[in-house]
Amino acid sequence: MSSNITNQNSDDISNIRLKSSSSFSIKKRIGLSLFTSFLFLTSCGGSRENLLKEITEFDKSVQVGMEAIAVYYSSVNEQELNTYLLVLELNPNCEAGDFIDYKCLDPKFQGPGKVPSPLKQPAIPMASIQARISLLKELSDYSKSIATIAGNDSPEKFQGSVKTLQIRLISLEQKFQLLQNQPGKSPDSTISVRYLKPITTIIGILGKIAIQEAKWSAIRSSIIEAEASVNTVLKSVGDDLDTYILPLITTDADARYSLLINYYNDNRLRFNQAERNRIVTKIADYKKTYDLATNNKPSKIPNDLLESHKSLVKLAKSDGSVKDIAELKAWLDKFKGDVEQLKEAVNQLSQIQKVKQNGKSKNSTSNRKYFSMF
Amino acid sequence: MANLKIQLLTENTSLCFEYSRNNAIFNSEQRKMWLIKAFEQKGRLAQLIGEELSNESDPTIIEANTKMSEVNIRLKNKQESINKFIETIQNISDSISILDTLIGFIVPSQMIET
Repeated sequence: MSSNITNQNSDDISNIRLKSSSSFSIKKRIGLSLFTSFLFLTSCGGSRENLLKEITEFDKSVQVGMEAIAVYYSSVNEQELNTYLLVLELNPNCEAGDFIDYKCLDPKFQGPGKVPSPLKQPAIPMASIQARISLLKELSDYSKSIATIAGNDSPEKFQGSVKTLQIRLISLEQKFQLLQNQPGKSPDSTISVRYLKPITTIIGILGKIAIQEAKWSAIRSSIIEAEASVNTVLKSVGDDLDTYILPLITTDADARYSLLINYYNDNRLRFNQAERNRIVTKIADYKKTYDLATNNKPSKIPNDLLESHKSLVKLAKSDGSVKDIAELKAWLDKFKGDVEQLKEAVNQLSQIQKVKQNGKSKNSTSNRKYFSMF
Repeated sequence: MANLKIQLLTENTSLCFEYSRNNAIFNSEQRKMWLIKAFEQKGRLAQLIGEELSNESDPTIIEANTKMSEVNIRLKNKQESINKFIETIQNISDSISILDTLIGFIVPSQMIET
């Protein structure tokens, strides 16, 4: 599409040059072209400008959102492993191995057989995690590319370039006149010099419009062409997070929280005050992790993005009415709000994890091994 | 169907963990039993999720990945097409500039000879 426009633009430029040899009604042509350009820019410029601005905002939110979701995917196996290690640490009868035998927690327990431990195999295979991270990156690249075209300042650069061209052409023309050595005739009074300026001005304006059209067309066609794929991606990611990732993350947070509460209740009488305080603080941390995991659904991000994307496609298919832009802006605002909320949750989870890791290294030589885990 | 099984197992696991924390109703032994039951269910849940994800979700994700990759390649081509157009204009301008400089050298010497 853009190459057609590019060719068309080249043809326009050639036509204008050919016509410039004739001085017939050239002032009228200049006046008409400028008037048409003015009408075109004032009718489309405002709404398009808004869309281009929203695309940049859309991209910013996509980058933050995809990063936050990637954290969920990358940390899911680590959460499973941490829960398992906590079970081992708090229960001396349980042995680390390829399988978990729940009888180690209580010999009286009558349940089904052993299940593989996270030491033998992670719940989510690494290849599956990589495929999802890669998909998020593709989505982020798509958004970045659209934003790059939208933020491209080539129309302005083009106009600057044509202005330079104009100055050089006039200078060249004047030098040719000097070579012809025509006495009594000022170089800037020649016909070609008088017309060079307005003609190159028109080329500059039409060229700018042509590039703007090429840019606009590239954005529109890309959004429309990518519609089905982007919708599939967003829906897949949303379903995937809800069905597979979130259950693992929430039950892990639940497990660690419950495990530590039970451990405290069963053993509190043999702890001194300082030890109790320490475990209670960790229970509060696990409660916070549990709340963050259960209250923040990461699938909100792809779901909001799906709605924003629908508005974007609608806008790309239309002529960009104010109503369409307002709808897109409203979805983007909601999306941005949810992204910020999830980002904050991820930050808090990372912060809690960081505190735990610091505690782990400080207490690694402690006789009371279980403190090192919290 | 598989999704429903995962959902039910998740809810049940969470419920068992909740029971295990319930001091008001249960004694220590009962809490412990609920906790073990919850862990046993959690183990089965992880196993089920791992299997279903590989069988059900992975093919969709991989297909979506391929499609998005194709979209990005087409988008890159469009970007390049616009850049090429700008470059062409810039080249014309540069060529004229070279010609301008060359003539700048020629003109004074021609005029002196005249």
